[in-house]
Amino acid sequence: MPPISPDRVRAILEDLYALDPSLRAQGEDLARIVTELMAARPNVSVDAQFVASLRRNLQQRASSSTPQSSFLRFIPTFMQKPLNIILPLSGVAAIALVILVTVVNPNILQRSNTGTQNNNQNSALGSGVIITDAGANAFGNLAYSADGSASESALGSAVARSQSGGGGGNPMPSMPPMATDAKMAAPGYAEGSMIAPSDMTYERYRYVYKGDALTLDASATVYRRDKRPLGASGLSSALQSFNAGSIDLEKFGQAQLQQFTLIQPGQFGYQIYVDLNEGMVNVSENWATWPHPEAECRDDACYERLRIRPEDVPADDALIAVADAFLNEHGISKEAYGTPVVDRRWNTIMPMYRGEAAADTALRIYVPDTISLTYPIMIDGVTSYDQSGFPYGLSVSVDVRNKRVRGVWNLSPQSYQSSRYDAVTDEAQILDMASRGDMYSQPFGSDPNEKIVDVEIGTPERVLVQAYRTNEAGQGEELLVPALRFPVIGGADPAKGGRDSIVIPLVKDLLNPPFYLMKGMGGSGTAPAMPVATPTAAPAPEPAIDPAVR
Amino acid sequence: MARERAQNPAMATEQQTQIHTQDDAHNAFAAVYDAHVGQIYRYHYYRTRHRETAEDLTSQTFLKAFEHFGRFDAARASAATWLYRIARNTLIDHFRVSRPSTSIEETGETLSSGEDVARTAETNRTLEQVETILNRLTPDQREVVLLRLWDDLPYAEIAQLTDKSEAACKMTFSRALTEIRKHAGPAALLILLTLILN
Repeated sequence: MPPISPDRVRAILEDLYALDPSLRAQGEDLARIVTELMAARPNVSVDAQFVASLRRNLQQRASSSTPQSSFLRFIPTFMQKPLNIILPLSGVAAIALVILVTVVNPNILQRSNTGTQNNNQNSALGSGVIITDAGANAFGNLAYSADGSASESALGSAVARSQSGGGGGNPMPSMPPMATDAKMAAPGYAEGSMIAPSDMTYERYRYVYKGDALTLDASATVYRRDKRPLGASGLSSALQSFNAGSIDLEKFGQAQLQQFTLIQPGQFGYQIYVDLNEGMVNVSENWATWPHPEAECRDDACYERLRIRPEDVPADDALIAVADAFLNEHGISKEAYGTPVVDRRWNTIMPMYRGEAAADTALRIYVPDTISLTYPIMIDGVTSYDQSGFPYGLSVSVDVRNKRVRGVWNLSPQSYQSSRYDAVTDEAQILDMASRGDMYSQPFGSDPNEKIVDVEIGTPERVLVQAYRTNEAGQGEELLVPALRFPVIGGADPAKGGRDSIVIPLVKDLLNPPFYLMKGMGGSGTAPAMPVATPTAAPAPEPAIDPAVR
Repeated sequence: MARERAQNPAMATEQQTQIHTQDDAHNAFAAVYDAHVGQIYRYHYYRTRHRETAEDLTSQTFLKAFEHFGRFDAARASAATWLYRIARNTLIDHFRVSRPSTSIEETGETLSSGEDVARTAETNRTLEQVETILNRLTPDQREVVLLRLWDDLPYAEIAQLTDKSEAACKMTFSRALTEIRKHAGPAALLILLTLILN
């Protein structure tokens, strides 16, 4: 600690004397006090590595906040044909897109004129993952969900969202349909096993761990997607002054453009849904411009003739090649994603029909005409999954009949905030949850009709599991939470609810949510259940009518 | 402090009246960061006495500052004052979460939350003694004393930071010293004298 300058002390005291001259009488004591208080200041300097690291984070943030046109730059690649725009305003449609495209990317006019594409210069979309350290516990309690529950919702799988239609009222769902009939693709779905008579025994898998001892850390890094608005302010202002037919948009005052849909006409056209607030883009077929021969069918023979058969589905390599070509053509970078995985879960219904006549089986197997594949989000070399254990990230659906990409889903800038959270270090707790298949299933033995069937699970890999929650402000947030993914060894029949992998998150907030956030307050996981009042005999309800009358 | 700023070219960013492009804004923010990251870190460290926590809070401070840099008005406050204000709010939020039983007004007592294993026994003893003295002050007094003597802020900035007038800040500081002298009396002076002699 350098010596305290008497001049400095004197200057400090002179300020006080100017305010109250009588203090001069205590000058000697006050000088001593000030001197010593200053001398007691901790002698600390900021770590140079930390300064450099934070500076890098800020620079990354700055670069990722540069104009939205970099993210939306791929849109002009659809511009070989004219596009229309549909705004989320009733009655406002079919505005020529020329203005829009001029705002998004002034170069498009030149490109359209030349008719050439330079996709190498068009690769900003989705390029790389940007991580910004937000400090410890920066996202609040991860179990929080605005509906008052800790969230099964939060960890609801992409599959579940897809089944329920997802999308929260958006014109297009934020998640892809994994198959034309989503329920058929849901893991464990089996017609006839979903609604079992209550008095029948059923098989329930118990996943028994046979792997190595788990290595568990005391803390884990959670990632929250940074939903930085795409911020098409120029786009918004341009449209604001645009008189769309009979509606003068200027009359909407300060209205901000939040979502819009671009419609590409012509055969095999697309529609591009852009949510500027959510920072999300989805591409899907423009249904009216794609052939749908089955729509013309009037009898079963026609359906049967057009039905997709298992052997019609291309091999994984072929499907991936179609998807890769589309992404490359439209300048959508795969840098932030890992190797794509083709969703073959539709095929898992086949074992249901084992033992039945082959002909009958062939008739009853449903093969979707669209196959999805997912490019999983990769952060620091760790792969992201949904809670069902299927890769989570950029999803591309391929039309089996036409061997064309039908849609691209979950396309967003891969920018995240990271934060350290306490992790679960109790191996027994993790393995207990894994044995049930997930965090929410009841303990074994709670249903007398269940017949337990043991299946082995092996040493897990470290992954990230996608979670979704509503924060205190009522805004949806997407999290990627460290988790263990246990492979199921030896086969658990999907027709009976069997899984091929089990994913258990590692963050304490999710495994041990506070009781007031627990779903139904009933005691999922190992968190303490709410006390239940001793049941008392309730009086029998009054019969609505005299039983004797019946 | 004022002289330090005048010599620091980064301070020139505060005088900029127009930022024409986003690149300009990023460059201006980078200059503000370089000029003040040390001060903001020390501000957090003095009050948490924990290196990692201070780094976390410094990160949060600058991330918030970056997000809101567009709203920063150099005509209304210096970049330093603006950053200190964000840092102060961040610190208050931190203690809300980590010490829910501590009122915001008590954040001046956070000197006692020593966790840094690196500090020496001597430093420890010194700080404990200073803490004993500072704990006799009101939270307002403690905050002004630390801002003035440890963070080396002029009264004008302390006033903006604490939403008080300059005169009120001076009065608070004056009363704090008088409190130490009068109410702690000879015992406090003895402690201070001991510290000086050591």
